[in-house]
Amino acid sequence: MSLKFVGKNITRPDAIQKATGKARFLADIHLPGMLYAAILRPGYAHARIISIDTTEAETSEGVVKVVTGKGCSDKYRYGDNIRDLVPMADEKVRYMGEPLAAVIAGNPHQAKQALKKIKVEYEPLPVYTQALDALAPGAALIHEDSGSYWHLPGVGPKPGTNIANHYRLRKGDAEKGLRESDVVVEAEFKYPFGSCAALEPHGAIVWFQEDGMIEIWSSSICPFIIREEVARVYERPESDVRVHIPEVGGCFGYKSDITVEQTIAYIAGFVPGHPVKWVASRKEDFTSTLLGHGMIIRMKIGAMSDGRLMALKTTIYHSTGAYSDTGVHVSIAAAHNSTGAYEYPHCDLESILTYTNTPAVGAFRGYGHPEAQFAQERLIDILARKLKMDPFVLREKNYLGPGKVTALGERLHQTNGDLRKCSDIIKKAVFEKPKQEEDSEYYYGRGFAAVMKSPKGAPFSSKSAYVKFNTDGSVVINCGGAEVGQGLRNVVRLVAAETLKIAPERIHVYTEIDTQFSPWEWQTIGSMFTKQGGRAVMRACQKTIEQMKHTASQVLRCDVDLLEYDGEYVYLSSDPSIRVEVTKLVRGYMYENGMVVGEVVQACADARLPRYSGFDENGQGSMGVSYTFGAQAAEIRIEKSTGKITVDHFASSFDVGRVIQPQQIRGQVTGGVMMTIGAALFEEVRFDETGKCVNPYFSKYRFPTIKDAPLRQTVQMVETPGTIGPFGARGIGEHPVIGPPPAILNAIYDATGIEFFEIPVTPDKMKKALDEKAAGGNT
Amino acid sequence: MPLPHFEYVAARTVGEALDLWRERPACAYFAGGTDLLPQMRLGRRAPATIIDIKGVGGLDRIRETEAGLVIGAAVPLAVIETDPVVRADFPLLAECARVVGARPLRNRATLVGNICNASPAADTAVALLVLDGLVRTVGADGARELPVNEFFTGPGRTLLRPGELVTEVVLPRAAVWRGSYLRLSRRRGMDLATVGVLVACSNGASPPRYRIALSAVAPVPLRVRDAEALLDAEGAGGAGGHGWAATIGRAAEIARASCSPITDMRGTAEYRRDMVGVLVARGAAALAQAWVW
Amino acid sequence: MVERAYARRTMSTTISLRVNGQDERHDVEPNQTLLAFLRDTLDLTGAKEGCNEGECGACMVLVDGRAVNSCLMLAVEADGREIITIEGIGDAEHLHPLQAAFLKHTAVQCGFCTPGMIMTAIGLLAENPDPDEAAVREAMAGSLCRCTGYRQILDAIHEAAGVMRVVPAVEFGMRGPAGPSGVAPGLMAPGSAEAAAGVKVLGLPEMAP
Repeated sequence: MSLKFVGKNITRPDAIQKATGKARFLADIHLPGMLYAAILRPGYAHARIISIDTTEAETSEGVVKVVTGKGCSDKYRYGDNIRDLVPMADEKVRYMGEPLAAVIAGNPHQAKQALKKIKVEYEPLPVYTQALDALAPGAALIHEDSGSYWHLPGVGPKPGTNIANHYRLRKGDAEKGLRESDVVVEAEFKYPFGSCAALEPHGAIVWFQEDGMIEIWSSSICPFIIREEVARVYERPESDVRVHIPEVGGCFGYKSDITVEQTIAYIAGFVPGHPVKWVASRKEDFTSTLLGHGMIIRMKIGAMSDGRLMALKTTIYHSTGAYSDTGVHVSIAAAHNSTGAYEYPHCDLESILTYTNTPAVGAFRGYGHPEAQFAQERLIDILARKLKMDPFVLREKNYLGPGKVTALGERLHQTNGDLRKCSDIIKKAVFEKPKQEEDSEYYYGRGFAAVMKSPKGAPFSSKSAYVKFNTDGSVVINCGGAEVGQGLRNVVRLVAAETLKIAPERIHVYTEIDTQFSPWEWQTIGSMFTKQGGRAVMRACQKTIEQMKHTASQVLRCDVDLLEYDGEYVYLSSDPSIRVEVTKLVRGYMYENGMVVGEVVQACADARLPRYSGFDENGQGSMGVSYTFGAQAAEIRIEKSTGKITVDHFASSFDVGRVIQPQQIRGQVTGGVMMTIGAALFEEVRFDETGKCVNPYFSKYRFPTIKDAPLRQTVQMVETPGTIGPFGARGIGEHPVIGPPPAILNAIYDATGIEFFEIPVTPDKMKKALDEKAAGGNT
Repeated sequence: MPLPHFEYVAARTVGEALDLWRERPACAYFAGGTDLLPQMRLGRRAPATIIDIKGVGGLDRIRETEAGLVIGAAVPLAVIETDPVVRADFPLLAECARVVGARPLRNRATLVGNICNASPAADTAVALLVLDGLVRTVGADGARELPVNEFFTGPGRTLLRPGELVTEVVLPRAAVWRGSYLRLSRRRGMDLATVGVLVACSNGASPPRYRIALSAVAPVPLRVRDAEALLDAEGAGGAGGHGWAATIGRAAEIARASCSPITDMRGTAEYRRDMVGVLVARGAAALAQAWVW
Repeated sequence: MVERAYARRTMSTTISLRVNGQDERHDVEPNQTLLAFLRDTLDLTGAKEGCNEGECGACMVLVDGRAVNSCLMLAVEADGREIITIEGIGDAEHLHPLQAAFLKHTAVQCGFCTPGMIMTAIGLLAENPDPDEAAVREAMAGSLCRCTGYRQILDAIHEAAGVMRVVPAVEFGMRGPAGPSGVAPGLMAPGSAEAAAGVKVLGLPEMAP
């Protein structure tokens, strides 16, 4: 297939607005009559509220209203999966970042000053910051009444415990598989809490209008979920809720689902007629939006002495925080994707989602895959050593590929991508040369990780596109997908340009989402936009071509299927000189006498993953549908005297099916790798025993700077076309974050012979392990 | 949090600054503001009056005097690190200044602010300790000159009295000290030191003299005089000679023993203590390699 | 109807300054940061608040030609100063070489750090027109990006530096004198009003299905 625009480095349409400082983010929006909210956060992570005294705050300068959550939990319950979320603490607080009261004032400063004047009395309750503590017998319940919560079929809390959801997948007979295995390895791994820490903090504006409309702006990626949830709670038609998404300054997962909007809506409900704006402080962005990960993964692998993998048993204890709606599917995805890139005939994979007194955990780039495959890829290396087998040979024996069956029971095909090719590219890039020998200063090591990513969609995970031809032949495209930096607007434009055979400059792609005008989309998650959104765009474009041909068939008096379209003309295939200009077709064709025939050229189309399903009683189902595979490796050095770990080179290869824009893919990969080099070496959101977050600032939660970027990153794509996405394209957004932690920890072993089972591996931990090893200690 | 309310006044003379302090409630002197403003946002400090001293005549200059090089309280670190005289004659200060925050921050942050903030991890403090810097102040009781070596009394605490204004830092021109500031942090860019060690040698002096200063491993930045004395004594006959490696090892051990680090987000106490030893040894060894005696 | 109560602090002072080549005179509150002044008073929203503690660099502007975290500077301190923001360095017709290079290398992803990143880089290149990669990494370490992994940003700065060494910045429509590089003032129609008006109004329909 010869492509004119797809696969070329064509500049993103949104880049110029962003580089000139004109792109408008949530904090940049001002509306007439706007008021500002500040939110009080409790002094306890788990406590009954005895009283809230707002008297003094009410008379504070500039204050319009002080709001508490008293009585809100009956009427205002949120949740797409498990309806356990309240907009503001009612009878008890469940984590320190929870909204407890709010001040509405004329400016943000006055609102924040008044917060200090609210007095609260509490009766403290036991605090649990880790799943295993909250699961201990006799633990106090974080949700006493969880049995009454509405939930989707197949998921939901276990009343009388702190379990928010229990998912279990069975394929074959894992017990039998383990029994019959020649070798069994097992270990416990920890992937701690992390923050997506986008540069733009989360925020929202909510405006209850005189005509009954509720208008919302949010730095979110799920306008339609917000619309549907708010409409449900406020008992309005969905058409009366209008949600706008301006530019989003980074997401990485945590701006999905309804997370802050319910609280701002609740607050704004007290001052109808006024838009109420709230933008998280950096601290609130850490403590009061969503965190990621928080998983303990116990994993056991059984294998035959020839290296055939037999059975996998995974148990994941997932700290979901105080509310579970956003964590439930992360937890499920972590379990069923814990096979990583390998076929296991027997699987027993479970995840226990547990309420804890920490901020809610939700989507974080990778959605369960990084945590589970961190364990898988570490344990595969350990297994290879036990089998005395080259880890590449072990992996290659068991790679998922054509004819293999995933844990979910889905059979794979060539069109799911070529993992071996990716693996070979990385082997060549990193492992071809002999390993660098240790010297007086450094140990050197190399580590590998194979990666599998399924999209984690949902039955309704459709995306749609609207394509409209203008009279001059230019085109406007509108979709419901949130541009968070990943570059989906360029994907839309290039796919449309290729399909419509017109120059990208002639195609304008939407700059905001507005549920009043945008075509419906479930939410922009799971690395699915290119595949599904791109497919929707292609389908809509094809519809417009058909419309033009249909009109042209009347004008040219011939059968539709004898016509061709080239972007400028619709013409008769047997005689291209018999033709009509596109510009004469877009409003219908007008004859000389002024009569018009044919449709206006505009079309809507959607796309969803084919035959996506829920899961059955075995936890299996058609829940992957489209897979992407890849391989990643790290070359590191460890300074002997200080334990400092440096990633000298990181290499990634993914089978993306089709590269739509090479620089954008490269940017996704280098960014994802950088993000999780941070996770592997220094990032962690920490809580003390009272449930207080001890590092909710950029000065304390350190993520990589430009000085931390590896000197070399190799990024090489494989293109085995898929069957769903446009021109064969698959997703890539989340994939690069999966491999770096296991690859780096595998490299640490390669360098030193020391096994680490949790991240981050900070220099003090590394040095301690080196010292213990030198002293003959057992690591 | 936004900044709380305060009154902002700009002083034009030292006298005016002191008067303003006396007349107004809860004052704070203000130069670069890079420490003060974040602390105010966190509610750790709440001055009712901020007295900007950047307009005080003379405080924005680096000047040569008989007592040595004088750096005014309003001189930003970026100016100090690029100043040709500082780089030539006080290279340690330039080196330590260069690792405070990132460059745009140093366009505002001052040397005097860095030491008045009195963070145990203050990077410039170790240079001033080694250079025998003097802090010149003016207060209600008149002018004082305080050795930097006595200036710090605890985390965030100094010898300064209420209302006392640091006007300048003096770097006596006794010798040119050379060496390197070895520093570990969690990430490479823009981070506080987990451990900082400055090992220096007086260039060209005979016999050579050694100095060692540590940051982020005790309540205050500190010198390790016992270790310095050992290196002075053993190094008198010529560093790099037989037994020098063992001497360095002993000095490193003394430094290890003389710090009192804590465990925090940046590292464990045990690790910090070990790293003091490692970095002192490394710094001393680097000196031996750098000069032929 | 909600009663509005905007309090005016009695201690506000008047500052005169030059912003993107235009003389400005405004009353500011003592506790107003330069960032808040630029964003709220002048509606120059290109500088962003990412952390409010000088750690992320999204609020970077040039003050008398030097890159400064505007969240850590008071508006009153800007009295008599020359401020240049992202809005003042180039527009669609005359992109600054750094802006052009960021576009070319896809060094822009979510765009929240981009204005600050570019302003920090201008500050660097004004002092060091030919930095090696280590110098760029050193100078840019206070500007965080969570999207790109920095590789394409490094490439863009490297390329822009090459362009700027050949063609002086004055050719690229930089408004006002830019400090050390000594750029001539007033090349383009200045003004925050136009800048604000140029922004697409939210909520304009593109379709009504």
